[in-house]
Amino acid sequence: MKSAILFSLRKLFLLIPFLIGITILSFILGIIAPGDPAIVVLTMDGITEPTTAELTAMRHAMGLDQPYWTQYGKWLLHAVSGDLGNSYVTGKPVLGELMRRLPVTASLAVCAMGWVVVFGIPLGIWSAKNTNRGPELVLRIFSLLLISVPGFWLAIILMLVFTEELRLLPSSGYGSEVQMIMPSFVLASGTMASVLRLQKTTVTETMQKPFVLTGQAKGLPLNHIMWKHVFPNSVMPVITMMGTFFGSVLGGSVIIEDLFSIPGLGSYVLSAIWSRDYPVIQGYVIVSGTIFVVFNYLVDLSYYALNPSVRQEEES
Amino acid sequence: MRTKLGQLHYIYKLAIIVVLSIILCAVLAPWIAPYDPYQVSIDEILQHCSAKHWLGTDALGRDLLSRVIYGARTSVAFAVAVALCTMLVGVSLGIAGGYFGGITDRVIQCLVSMIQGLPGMSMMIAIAAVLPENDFRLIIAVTLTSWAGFSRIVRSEVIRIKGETYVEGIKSLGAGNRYILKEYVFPNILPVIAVLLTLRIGTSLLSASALSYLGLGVSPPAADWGVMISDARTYFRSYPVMILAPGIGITLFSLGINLTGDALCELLSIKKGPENKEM
Amino acid sequence: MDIRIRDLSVSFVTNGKNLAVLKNISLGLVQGTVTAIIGESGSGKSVLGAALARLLDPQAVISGRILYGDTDLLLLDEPEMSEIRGKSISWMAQNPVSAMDPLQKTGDFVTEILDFRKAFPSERLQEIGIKQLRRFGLQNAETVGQSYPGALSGGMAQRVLISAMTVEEPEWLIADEPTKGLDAMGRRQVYLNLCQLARERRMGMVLITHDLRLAERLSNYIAVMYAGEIVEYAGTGEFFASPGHPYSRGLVAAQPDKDMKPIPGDITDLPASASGCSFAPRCPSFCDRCSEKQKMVEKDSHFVRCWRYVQENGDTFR
Repeated sequence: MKSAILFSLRKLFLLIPFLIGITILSFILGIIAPGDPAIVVLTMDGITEPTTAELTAMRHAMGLDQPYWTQYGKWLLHAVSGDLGNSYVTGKPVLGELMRRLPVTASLAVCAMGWVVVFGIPLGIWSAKNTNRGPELVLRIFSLLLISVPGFWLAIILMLVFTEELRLLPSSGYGSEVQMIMPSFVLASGTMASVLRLQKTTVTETMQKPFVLTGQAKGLPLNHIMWKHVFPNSVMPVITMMGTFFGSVLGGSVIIEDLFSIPGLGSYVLSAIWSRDYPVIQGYVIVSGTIFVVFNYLVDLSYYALNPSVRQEEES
Repeated sequence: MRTKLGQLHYIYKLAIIVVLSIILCAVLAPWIAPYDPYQVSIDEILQHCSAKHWLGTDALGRDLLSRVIYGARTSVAFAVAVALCTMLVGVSLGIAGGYFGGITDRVIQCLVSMIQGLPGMSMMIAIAAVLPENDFRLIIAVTLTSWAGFSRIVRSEVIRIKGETYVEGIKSLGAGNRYILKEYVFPNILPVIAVLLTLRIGTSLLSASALSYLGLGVSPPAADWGVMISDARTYFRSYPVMILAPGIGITLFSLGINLTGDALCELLSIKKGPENKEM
Repeated sequence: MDIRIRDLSVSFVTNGKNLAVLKNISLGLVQGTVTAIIGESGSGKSVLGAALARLLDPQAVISGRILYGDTDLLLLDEPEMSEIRGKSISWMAQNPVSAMDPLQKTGDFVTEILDFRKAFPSERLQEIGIKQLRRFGLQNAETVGQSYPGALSGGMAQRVLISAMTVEEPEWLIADEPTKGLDAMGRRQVYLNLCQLARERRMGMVLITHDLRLAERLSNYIAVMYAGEIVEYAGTGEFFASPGHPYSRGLVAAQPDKDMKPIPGDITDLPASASGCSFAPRCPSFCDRCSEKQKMVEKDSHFVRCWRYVQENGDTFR
């Protein structure tokens, strides 16, 4: 137990460089972004035409005449205290706007990961056991298709089929379970197929391991060995990949939310991109980066909990 | 075990043929496209398939088939360009870190884990969004967010080769770094690079067309598959061909590339790691 | 019950080519005795061991009979075979660490089959496991039982494996290279463990090894394999006193405590004629008749498959 706490604290400590990296990236984006923040602030009402003197004064007030690292330090202090600046468009604090939309994206991502786990892993195991049989070949082609198809296009095609033709599923909105089916499926599709293929490979490899023979030599039936030994061992590499997979889901949500009119982080940042609302884009980088890092942290913890060899290494 | 080209499964052969014919289409676009893909014609807007316009026309009366053919040109060219840039950055940093080790390696590894610790697609969109509007932003945004995996694999390959006894032997005979890199390291990582580059072309196509679709990549009126899908969004209910044609183009090419990558793995006897798709 | 192997042939089909690994093996294994099968790697001895427990790859083409008492093991289906494995015939893989599930505690590994067969109430299993581990000289059995295979040394892992494979007190134990990769201490401990099983429990054993010292000290009979065939079979004392086959002589001479003289050539050297003696290309006492197939000949329960041996001993064979 003590080592578990130590492990989680140590891993938590290791997150710090990542979080700093995210803030640096976000800050750099702010510098690269075209437009002078001072002008933006001064012209917010749309009427004022600032003079050069006013601009210089504003720049000084905003600290824009200081070296970048001082600016970064100040900006970071603000960011840590929860101030990610205000939206150019609405003038409201960016963090609040992002946090308001976070649960929507989170629920979408959770649904997508649900598809991945519920279908990807079992179908992968099934494929490994039935490899080269007719239905498995169909599934193999299907999963390859899902990996190759662009998500945004698949979404439009599914809308065409399930909304326009069959009138089964709604194509937009957020709030009910039915509305989540299509977007979360599209969001999960590529990842689901990748997990399926990875799980199939790991099961096939684990089935070659000598401990399977040992189990049989003890008199255990193959089915028992499959569930008690092959499955837990084969799912470990898949768990380590979960963090990476989650990244695709998070990134894909930008497009999917826009297509299905889901009011989450993704559609918000996309509209910010159209209106060149750079503080929102910067804030999005921080929030989505942090979610990703935290998710990976949780994956590490669960891996620790599930894999005793990691645990014992840690203890010694 | 090494497989010969002739022994490949027919699916692989088919995939290679598909990829090659799409590339051929891209190269020969000016000769095979029936019309100018940019020719706006107000009298012929939104036509259905006909003998004159096989796939119909779009909202500006441009011939769809010609746009799909020219689209192959833009999309494949960008996918290849992005993949090449990614390879260039990934391979040079991978070799630098793996071969020279020490502080260089530590710094590069730090960058690699940094990039892999961020959600690539989100960062790609954010980076493309703040860069000035030109075609390079697509290449920069995708390259910046995807070189890390490339470099990690190359690095571990280089470390493996560097540790081989014959390389250590040649080193003790006084061979210089440049000689070893040129004669031993590079030829040995070439197969891995070939496979990674091939697969990267597929993922680059997907990323680039996603960015173009969002209006952050190739900008209209260019004939690009991603842009075409984006243009077709308003009309897809009545004119499904408008959205089907470019989408099938992307899917076929990326499916073909994925299979070609697998075929290359078999030809060069390389074990492939887990894949990950980004929309 | 005795195990009688009759005309056992095993082959694998790879790349359309048929690769014969065992060729017409006939061998009797007497209940409660230890038979050591010796030979170089690649001779097929491990395949023979796995075949006895019917643990070969499903792709393998098997013919002949393996009679356990009156039942032919090759005719049993998987569930029937599961009833025999572990209970009557147990098989122990080489390389003990990889023979265990890295995610399973060794204590559970030992008692897993008892749990599966509901042989004991589950609350007693832990105690049984610890007792079993302790029986094989693992002093801190409680700690060992709680650890995972990755944390064990090679010698410890081998003893855990022996504990697990004999927990149901099988009549037969097939041990594949039990001392491979162990240091002197580990080898000694494993020897003591196997000795204990053979002498005290009269457990029948098939000891597959190229550790001739172990074979000499532990076994009652020796069978020498070369290129998928048994070339010599004799009582252990008799065998080491006067090995009959040139290959066996080579093996004995190659021992560190003897001349340590290696046998020239390689097991992949194939004889000039497919029908002849497979050892002919490497044989120091090659003669003209070696290109013909020789049957096993017997003299005072000492079986040898060699023309030269026949000549040396005059034609006094049955």
